[in-house]
Amino acid sequence: MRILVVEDDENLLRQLSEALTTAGYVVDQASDGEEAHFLGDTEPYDAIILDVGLPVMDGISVLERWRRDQRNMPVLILTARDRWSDKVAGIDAGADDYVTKPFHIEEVLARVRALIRRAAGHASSELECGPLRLDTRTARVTVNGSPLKLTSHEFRLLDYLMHHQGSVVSRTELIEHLYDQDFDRDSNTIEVFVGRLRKKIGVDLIETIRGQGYRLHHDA
Amino acid sequence: MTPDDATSATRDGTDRTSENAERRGPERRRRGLRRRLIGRWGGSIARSLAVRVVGLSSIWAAIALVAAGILISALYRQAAEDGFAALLEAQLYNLVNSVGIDDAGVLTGSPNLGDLQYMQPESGWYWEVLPASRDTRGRLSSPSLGYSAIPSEPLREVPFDVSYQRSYPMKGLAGEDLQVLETEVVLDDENRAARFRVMGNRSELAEDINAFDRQLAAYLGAVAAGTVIVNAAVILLGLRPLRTVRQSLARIRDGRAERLEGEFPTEIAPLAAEMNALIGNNRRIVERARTQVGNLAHSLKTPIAVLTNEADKLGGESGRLVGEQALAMRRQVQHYLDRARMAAQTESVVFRTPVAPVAERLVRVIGKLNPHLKVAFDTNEADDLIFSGERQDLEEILGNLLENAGKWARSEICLVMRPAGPERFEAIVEDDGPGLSEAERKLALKRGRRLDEKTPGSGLGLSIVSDLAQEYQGSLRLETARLGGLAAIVSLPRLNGVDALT
Repeated sequence: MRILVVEDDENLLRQLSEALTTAGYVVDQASDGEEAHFLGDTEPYDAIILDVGLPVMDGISVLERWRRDQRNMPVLILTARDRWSDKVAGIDAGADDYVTKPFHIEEVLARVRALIRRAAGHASSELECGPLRLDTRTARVTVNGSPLKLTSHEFRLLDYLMHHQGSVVSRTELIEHLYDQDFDRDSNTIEVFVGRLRKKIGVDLIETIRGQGYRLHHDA
Repeated sequence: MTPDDATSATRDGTDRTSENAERRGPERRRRGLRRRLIGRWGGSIARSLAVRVVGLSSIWAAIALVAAGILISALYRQAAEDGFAALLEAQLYNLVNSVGIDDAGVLTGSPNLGDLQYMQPESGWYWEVLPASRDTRGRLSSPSLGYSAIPSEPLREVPFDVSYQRSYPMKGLAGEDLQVLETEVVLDDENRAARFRVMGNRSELAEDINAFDRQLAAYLGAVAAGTVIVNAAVILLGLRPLRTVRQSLARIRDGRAERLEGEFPTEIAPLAAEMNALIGNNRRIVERARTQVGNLAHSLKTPIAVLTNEADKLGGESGRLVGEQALAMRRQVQHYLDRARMAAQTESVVFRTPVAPVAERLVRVIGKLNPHLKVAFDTNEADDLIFSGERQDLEEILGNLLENAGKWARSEICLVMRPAGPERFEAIVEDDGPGLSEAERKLALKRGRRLDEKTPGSGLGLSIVSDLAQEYQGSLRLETARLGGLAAIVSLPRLNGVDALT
């Protein structure tokens, strides 16, 4: 899952990025409105964390422009203003949720998880595919109840596939969502990770669709 | 230190200083107070425009009227005395003309001066003709004088003037003041002469003049009193717009008006306009200061967030310390934001917030934040409701109630707004969540503002709603919802139809 964090305070940006990376997300950073708008307009993010008070262009304007251009990724806004009129303004501009400053990182992580899940159409925080279970809150994966040890790359890949289970996910899409913008897109790492995942899960849930990509599904 | 500590510390501080002042010199203070009171009383009299104008105009009226009185009195006295002298002179000529002398040198004639006063004894009006040469005899006198005699001044004291007349005051028969006019006339070719004396009542003249003076004084006194009253009335009437201005200002200070309203006379209108400008300016400055406090407080939230998160990561003793300090800062920031909000609230004037649009917006937002929930809003009865308060406060109340319901609801939230009597309305937010037990409900309302977001959703936000409702003399109560979960019912003031139109 690839996330854009937009925050003009260096320290907070670092803290958020570190926490998100630790939680298994791929993080891009922006510290002003214009840069944020450009990245959000061109890159396929799974969620965006957007501070409202930004230099160059404020967060609300950035958000409005994205929505005008039909960019529909979930956006969580961070705001120091905790009055309902401010919250309403943010939601009306197109935000999906808000967190008021000051906050604990855990709260932001929880909201982001929920947003991504919701965007993919899942109501529960536990994703399920046959014997495979993924708890988005704890980042624990089990097969038939026994825990699975995954590297962070493997987890990210499985997480994305679990969120989009049933649909075909192309290799390009995976690269776009699992790596930051500087990643070399011609490498074969995706194939390698898919191979490792298949081996660890043991059950054949990841189907290769020639010329199109992969599909995670379970035939009941 | 909590905000409460800070305020109580300052309060203690001020108390101590005033105590010291008291101990230092109660005697001196008392004396000073008395002088100040007298000074203030005298000062306020001297400073009163009405007193000044009425005082000055009264002094002027008094001087002018006294001068006029003196002048008029003098003129009248002059005229009366001239008339008196002319009358005596005319009577004297009359007398001279009506008296003759026969060959034996006896004075003849029976003069009638045409005035009854010469007939009445001791009237103070007399005449008398006396021989003035050796060979003249006889004596004629007015009936009022009869055989009595009025003494003459010796010639060397009062000599005859060029027209051979002399005049002097004398006492009359009844002690009255007389003015005597005398002449001596040669009556025939043998140089026999007689002295003619006409005496007029001077006391009557004086009495006449006094009567005139008394009347004059009464008139002028009435004029003076009228002038003072008219002046006072004019000045009080003229100053009335100032009182209106003062009352308007008091209304502004009480928060019942925003500016000086009404028609003012040309002289006061610019003052009122300036005051309005000043009030506007003042309000802008306060507004700017408040915005800056808000900006400062809000800008602190990001660094506090950084500190909080760094403290979480740090852990241990120092992490706990930093976390506590960050929490204290956060409380202070919230405290001052709340105070700024309340200050703004007490200053604002008249509010009317239509309820339905606010509720619709919030329902839409809560719906978007909780896509799995059905958020119902019954607008039937809400359409005409006007909240008698600030829009932002209604937003806080409804927003927090709806957010709270959204946190606990399984599938459904319902907002109902309905009038409750002529002066209040109720907003009812229900959910189909687990609800709260009796004990939990009490706790929920007591619990302080949620500051610790470490465990998301642990706070209920209900105490904020309760506090806000109380600011509007309203209330929040919790019940079991028809949907099965919690029903939060908040009662708030509303403007009824008539008020809403004005």
